[in-house]
Amino acid sequence: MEIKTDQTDNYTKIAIIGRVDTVTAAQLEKAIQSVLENEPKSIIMDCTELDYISSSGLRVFLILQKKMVVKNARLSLFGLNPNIKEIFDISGFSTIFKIFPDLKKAINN
Amino acid sequence: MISKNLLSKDYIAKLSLYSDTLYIRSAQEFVLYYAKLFSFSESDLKKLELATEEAVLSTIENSFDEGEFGSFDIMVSYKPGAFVITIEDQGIPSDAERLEKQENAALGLLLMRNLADEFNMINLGRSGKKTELIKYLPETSIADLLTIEDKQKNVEAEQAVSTDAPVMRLVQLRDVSMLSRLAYRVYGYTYSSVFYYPEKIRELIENGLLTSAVSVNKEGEIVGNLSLFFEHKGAKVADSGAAMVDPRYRGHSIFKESKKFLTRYAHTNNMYGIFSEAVTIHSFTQQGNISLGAKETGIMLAYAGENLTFKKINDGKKSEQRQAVVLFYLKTSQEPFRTVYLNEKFYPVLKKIYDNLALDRKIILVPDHEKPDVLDTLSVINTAVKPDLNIAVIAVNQIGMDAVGLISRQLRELCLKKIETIYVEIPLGIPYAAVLSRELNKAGFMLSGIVPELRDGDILKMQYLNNVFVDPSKIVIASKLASELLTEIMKDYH
Repeated sequence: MEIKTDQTDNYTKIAIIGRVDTVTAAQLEKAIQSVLENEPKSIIMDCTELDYISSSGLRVFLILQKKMVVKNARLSLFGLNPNIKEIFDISGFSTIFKIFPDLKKAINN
Repeated sequence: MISKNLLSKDYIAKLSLYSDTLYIRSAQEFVLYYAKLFSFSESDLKKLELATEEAVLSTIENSFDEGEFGSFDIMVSYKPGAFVITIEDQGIPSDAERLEKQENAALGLLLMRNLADEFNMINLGRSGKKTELIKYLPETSIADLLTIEDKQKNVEAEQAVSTDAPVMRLVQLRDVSMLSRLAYRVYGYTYSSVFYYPEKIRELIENGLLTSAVSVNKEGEIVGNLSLFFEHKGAKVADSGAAMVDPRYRGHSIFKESKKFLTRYAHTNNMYGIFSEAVTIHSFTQQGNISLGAKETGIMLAYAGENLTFKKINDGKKSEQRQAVVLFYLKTSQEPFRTVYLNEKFYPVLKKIYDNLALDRKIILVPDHEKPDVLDTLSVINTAVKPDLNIAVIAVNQIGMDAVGLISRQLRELCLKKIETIYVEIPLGIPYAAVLSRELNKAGFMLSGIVPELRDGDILKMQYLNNVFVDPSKIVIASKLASELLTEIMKDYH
């Protein structure tokens, strides 16, 4: 798995490339922790190249969401492929996260 | 391609791994390698991959104490119409309290339930436990096969009424596609899934798990069906179901004649009896069963999903709650003599049921103050989850000293997974069955009824409703005995 971070004035974009499973979830958690230290007002997760996520990965998303809510900051996701979207639907996470089809809509909202 | 020889073995391939998350990927690659041989779509392969990770992770986290280094086996196998992943370990029994403490556990269980078409959790007593994930093989459903013209014909067919009397015979393999078309015509796409897949029906017939009385019109179309489902090949009782009558052919007594046909079949083949479930959204089926000599043995309160529709009987309106069904048993040949043991609370109504059944039975009341012996061994239970109905059945194959605790823990796990209705089936042939049923009643299981001769003897069926609403006034009951049974069951409904 690869993680790319891109910080702008208005948001921080975290792109996840590859798989988030039991083995790689800790790596994602560490990367997110590093971003959170800068106290971003908005994080946008780029999931266009995320091609697998398990419950371990969903848990990392959930922890991030909780931390953002506490800080009164925004968290958005975009670019989920149909398989990933289905996992979010099954787990009920689609109702917890703000999910958008592309970056532009995620920024504009 | 996998040879028929391998397909018929207990497993196609088996891998043993240590209980470490390092090996999750190995388990996934192992499963995917064989799954690809069954032509699953990319989407289904992704589901299998994820389901494997969740099942293996659950085993690693819940079957061994922290720091304990164990191992588990993962096997892939084939059963008619399905690809099966089995994970077997000899670790500690599953523990719902531990499960609740694991943040991931509930989420992992939810994913497993929805990614597999069925799953079973089987406690093997001292031999450990196993988890089975079952994925139906990719088949073309009849809805995909129907052309627009076919679908239009279905609409027009509902307006017409036919006068020619169909002919009845036993189903043959060449009938499977027509059976699927009939299912779609009668139920739309709301019926339980197997009948929409012709190849699945074929496999069930070939493996002795299904037979049917089919009604055929003069054009050779199948316009009626009633099936017998066998738990295993050669079973002495069968479940009658999948009753379907083409809307054009209502009024030809097809259902009644099909029942008679299958009764003769069962008698000829020395089967002890046929059991069935009759809906309670109307009384027609119950009355039909009673008129043919079938007897009421139980009521399952929240069995069928609320999205089941009946075309042309109630104008396709959906039922407003999960449907109750009345269980029936029709004796077809002389059964063996058996002794059954009932607890004090259930004895009065179950004695009435047994008297009505007139089976060769000695019925013993086990008073609450008595403490019968229990086997000095662990219980063996098999839990089957049916996601399409959102129900689970805990079959107790052996009552051991841990039965109450084991079933209670299983119940908690199933409730965590948001299974709405959970049944437990207890063999009635030993005195301790009365104690077990009494204790499970205290734990929240209500009476459902009995199923004669299901597994080398009679079974007591109990039901647990997980936050399911039931309005008894909406349950249509045809007989006094069933009405008394419903009253008795509802005393425990809160």
